[in-house]
Amino acid sequence: MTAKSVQSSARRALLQLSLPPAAIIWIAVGLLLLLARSVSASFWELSHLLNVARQASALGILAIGQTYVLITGGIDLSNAMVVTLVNVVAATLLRGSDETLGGTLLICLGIGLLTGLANGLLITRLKVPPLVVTLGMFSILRGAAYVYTDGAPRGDISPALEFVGTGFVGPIPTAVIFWVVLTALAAVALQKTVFGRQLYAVGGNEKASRLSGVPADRVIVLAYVVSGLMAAIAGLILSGYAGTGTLTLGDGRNLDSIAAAVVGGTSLSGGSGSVIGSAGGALFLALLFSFLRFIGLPYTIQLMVQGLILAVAVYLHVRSQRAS
Amino acid sequence: MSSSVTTLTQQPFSVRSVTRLLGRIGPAYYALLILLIVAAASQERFLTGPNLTNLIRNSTVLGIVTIGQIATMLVAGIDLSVGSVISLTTVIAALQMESHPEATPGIVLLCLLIGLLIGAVNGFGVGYLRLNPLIFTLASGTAIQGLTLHLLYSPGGSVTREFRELSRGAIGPFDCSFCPGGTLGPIPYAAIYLLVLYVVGTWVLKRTVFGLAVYAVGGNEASARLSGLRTERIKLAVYILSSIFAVLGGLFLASRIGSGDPLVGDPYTLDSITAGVLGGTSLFGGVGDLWGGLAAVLTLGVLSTMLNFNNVSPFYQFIIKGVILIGALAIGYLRTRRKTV
Repeated sequence: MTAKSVQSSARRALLQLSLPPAAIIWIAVGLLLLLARSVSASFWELSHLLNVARQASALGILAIGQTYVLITGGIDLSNAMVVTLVNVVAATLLRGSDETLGGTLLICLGIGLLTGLANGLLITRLKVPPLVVTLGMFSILRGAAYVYTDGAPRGDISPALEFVGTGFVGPIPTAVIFWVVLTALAAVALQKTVFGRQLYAVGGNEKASRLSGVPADRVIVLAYVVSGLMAAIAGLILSGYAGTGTLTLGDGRNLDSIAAAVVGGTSLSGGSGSVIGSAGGALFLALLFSFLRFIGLPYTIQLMVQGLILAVAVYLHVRSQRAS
Repeated sequence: MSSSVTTLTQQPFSVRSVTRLLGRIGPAYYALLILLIVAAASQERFLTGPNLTNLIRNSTVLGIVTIGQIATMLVAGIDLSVGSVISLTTVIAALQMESHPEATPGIVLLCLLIGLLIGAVNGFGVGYLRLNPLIFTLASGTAIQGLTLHLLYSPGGSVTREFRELSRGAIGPFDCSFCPGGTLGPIPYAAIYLLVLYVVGTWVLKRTVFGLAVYAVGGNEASARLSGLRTERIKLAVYILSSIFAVLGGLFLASRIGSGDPLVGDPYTLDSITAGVLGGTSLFGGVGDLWGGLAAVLTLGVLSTMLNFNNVSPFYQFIIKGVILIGALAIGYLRTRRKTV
């Protein structure tokens, strides 16, 4: 009874502050940091925190693209296999040296671009539901990765890519710099450009946006292209970290990127969401895993906690939407 | 569904009604028919008893799980947890049967109870709390995967010999005057399971109040609620069924592979959605049926058999599966557009 009244008054207070969902996840990140601090001071060492941020960066970059797509009311399940395909292609082409770096990067980004373009065109021209298109694309890309490598990936990542995946600029991991820059660009594009506003318009009410002259098809295609490109970049960064080609590098990352976006306050029904929130979501998940590892819980328990956090996040999200 | 009945009874037999009827048949049936003809024509080994038996046994797990997945799709939902439920079932069955071989029936019951519990959690979240099914079942699936790996990190355990017979056994041969050799070869248990589950499932969906309520909730949830249906309770029941079917699939799989594997169920999540969609069930609820799903499951099975026969790398199956999935829906769209224009 009292707990309920406390809860409802707390919710009212939150509503009066009218905090955007993106702010709530960053508060959660702060609370998690405080909790970690109270368990052990060494968690707060800068090198450790930066390492957590490095672990979050690939997920964060994937979540940028996923957020764009979710805002249009779509979903992208294929990004995980873009990561895998980019990884095996890069390892095969580079063979451990930087000689073919330029061409390899172009091909890898091209894979992401073409995947996004194909997703977007199939969704807008043939009106196939996004879940089905990107699920089918997931399967096609997985097949492509297996056929390309004949089931046994060869080759190694080059020093330059390894620097992107594991190196540092000063004290800051290179991957984090990529993540921060891309997040900033994506956030500005979302809030300040016509394309960004059109994304929200299409996701909020596609028919109305069409009637008011928004080129909805083009906007949707572009969102999937952004997601494909982000997946390719994340794939390159993860390749740099992994060092070799593996056929499992992307596994589960599609659902992880959706989780990061949803935990960061992006709605699955379209029309709302923010890149800053998703960045918070990615950081929150990475911090949580690091913390659970830190206090000695095995990976299996981490998975259970991840499921629980996701369920709680979507529950709180629905609650706050209904309250407002 | 009812409109098709009326048009057929009102109009006399005509070319138009036949083409209309053909247009209603889902793409999965055409795909299956064409594939069967191609397979039978190109491979004389295809239409042999052992091969068909193998085909059915390989399709059984997906066939069983797809029933539950279609049920969730009919209420405009989705169940991403079925893969981990399958894995969990194989692990529990194998571990328990290894230590208590005499208690096999009790272990089967235990697995079904666990399925009931998981389905109840999913159904409560999706039905009563009205959480997004995609995210909520993803969350529960992740948690169950964690639990499964916690119980058994790498494949192990073993099921009892009698339990293995459940997937390997067959009955027959039967006398059959028009069959080659005068007998119909042994019929695998797997075929009987599939037939019984699909017949009963279809009867429940098409002929019972509950089944009609499932279609009503998926077709238009608001009007279903206004006309007095307890939509939350129906969704709860559907998600319980989905988990139960996943457990049944997991039990068959455990019987087939003979041990527990914490990751073995993983592909069935997306494959069951693929089969449902390919079989003509809408992701937006209210439209679809089980037989289309079975046709899709068998299509995928025939496809993989054919590729194996022709020594095509199994890796191409991923590509073909993806193309079929997208293609089936794209064709469906082009067909409806031509009708309306």
